Amino acid sequence: MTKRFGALAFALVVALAIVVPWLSPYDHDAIDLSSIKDPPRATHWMGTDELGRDVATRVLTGTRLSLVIGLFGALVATSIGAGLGALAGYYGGLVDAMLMRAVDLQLSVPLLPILIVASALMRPSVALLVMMVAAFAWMEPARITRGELLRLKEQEFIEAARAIGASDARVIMKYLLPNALGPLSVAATILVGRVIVMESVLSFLGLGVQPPEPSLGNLLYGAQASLATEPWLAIFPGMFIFWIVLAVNLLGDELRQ
Amino acid sequence: MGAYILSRLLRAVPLFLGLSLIVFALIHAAPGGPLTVYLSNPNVTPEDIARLERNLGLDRPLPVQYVSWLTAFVKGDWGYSYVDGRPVLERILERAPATLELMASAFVLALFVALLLGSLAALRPGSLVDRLVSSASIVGISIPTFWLGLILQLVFAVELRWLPTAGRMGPVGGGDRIAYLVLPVLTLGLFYAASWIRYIRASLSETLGKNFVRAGRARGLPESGVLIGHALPSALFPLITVLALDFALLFSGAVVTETVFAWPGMGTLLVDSVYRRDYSVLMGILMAGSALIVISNLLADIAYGAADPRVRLVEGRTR
Repeated sequence: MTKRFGALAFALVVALAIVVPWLSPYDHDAIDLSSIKDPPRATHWMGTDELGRDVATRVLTGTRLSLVIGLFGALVATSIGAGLGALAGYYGGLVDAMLMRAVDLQLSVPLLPILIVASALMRPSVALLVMMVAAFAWMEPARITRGELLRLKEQEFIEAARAIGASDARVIMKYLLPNALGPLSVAATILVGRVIVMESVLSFLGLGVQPPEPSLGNLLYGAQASLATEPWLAIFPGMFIFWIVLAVNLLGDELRQ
Repeated sequence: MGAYILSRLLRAVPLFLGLSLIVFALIHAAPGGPLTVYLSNPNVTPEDIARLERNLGLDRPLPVQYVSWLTAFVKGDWGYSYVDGRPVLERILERAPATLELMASAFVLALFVALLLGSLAALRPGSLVDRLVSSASIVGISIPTFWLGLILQLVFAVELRWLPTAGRMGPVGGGDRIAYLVLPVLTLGLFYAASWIRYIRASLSETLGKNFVRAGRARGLPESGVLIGHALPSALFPLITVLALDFALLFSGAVVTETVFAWPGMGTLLVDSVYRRDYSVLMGILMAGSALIVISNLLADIAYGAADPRVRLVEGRTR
């Protein structure tokens, strides 16, 4: 098996997202009424939209935003999860019981309907949107951290750390959490994909990132209506969501091994 | 078994209360609150708003409102739609069959495909079939559902014209009814088929290495007997919990799928009500979705306990 395929695919899409909007002869919101709804060809290799804007530049500008949202969201969710999981695993007892009930509760939430309603009612900024998605994605990292800490905290090196007078906070931060980083990084990688999909679904419904700022989701917002006449508007943005998610899922598998 | 079911029921109650608190808090945290829809209407004066608030009990303290709302909800009084004035429960119940039809069809199809391909892969680890199935499953879990829907529409409805683009036939639709169901079910089912393949493959290949399976083989049972009679039932127990948890996700997936295919279920009702700010319907759908999830988890727990007596015993001891 190709061992580094996910890492390569991810690096490639990051590189494209950085380089293409920068080198592109077009601006992502430059309107050109002389070339409206052009199918893909040499000058516009993903075609143009209803305002003559270059789809390739818009898709890769959107990819940039999606990647930032995904990485940031996964980082926030993993930090929340690691923090709560560490408290639960280390102190056990009531803290632990409460956390596990909260995990049960969050896992039973009809997530997407709740996010749809929340983003419709609150009209969130992109940053707030990411925080909202992260608020419903911390459970897996929390369970992983808790499990790792339960396993590690009885071991001798922790006893040794306590014997030399290390505080609880120091034991957790310095000795326990670093040992949970391996499995946590796998979970965080997978979360990048999940956050990106959540955001793009919301934007697809017109509730996430608002135009004219292009995101992979809101580029698909109007695409369904013109599916028969301008299919390229639907194909390319989704293909990039698919590419990123596939890359991080493969990367997660590669990190696990 | 009775005590076990009772203990599971008692656990479902706080879960449902927690979910109802989240829904209630969400709606009341929104700027403008439940009456936003009237604020932008020039014919509605501030006095009207104040009177509405009094009539609907919105001027009472939040905890009081929560308790009276939840009590009414449990009794089946889900309020009235702000858009057409009909009872919320009635509006949701007329949409529920379409959503359940979509979810159940996708669930059954995904489970069937996952069982078939997962078993094939587990039986010959490392073979070409195994590698193909594993690659297909990672691709399957990576395709965003709503985009898959668009692409299937493009290929099978727009280009090939084999199937209708969107909509649903009523009970009188006959064969056409299935035609309308095919693309939405494929769209919703693919992710779950792909993700369950991985569980089934892992669980089954572990079980196949166990002693009772080797004993079955040693007694001269045919390979199909070993698989169907011995290995599969035992490998599938842990899957019950996964399936129940995924039922929660399936409801989310159905919302997206319904939107893409204009499927007249609870998902399209949710999105319509979001655009029209019909708070009472939104609360109703979120609660119905939560109830669906709590009930499916409860049923899975009970099925798990029925399938494996050890679960009931351990539960009894911790209580």
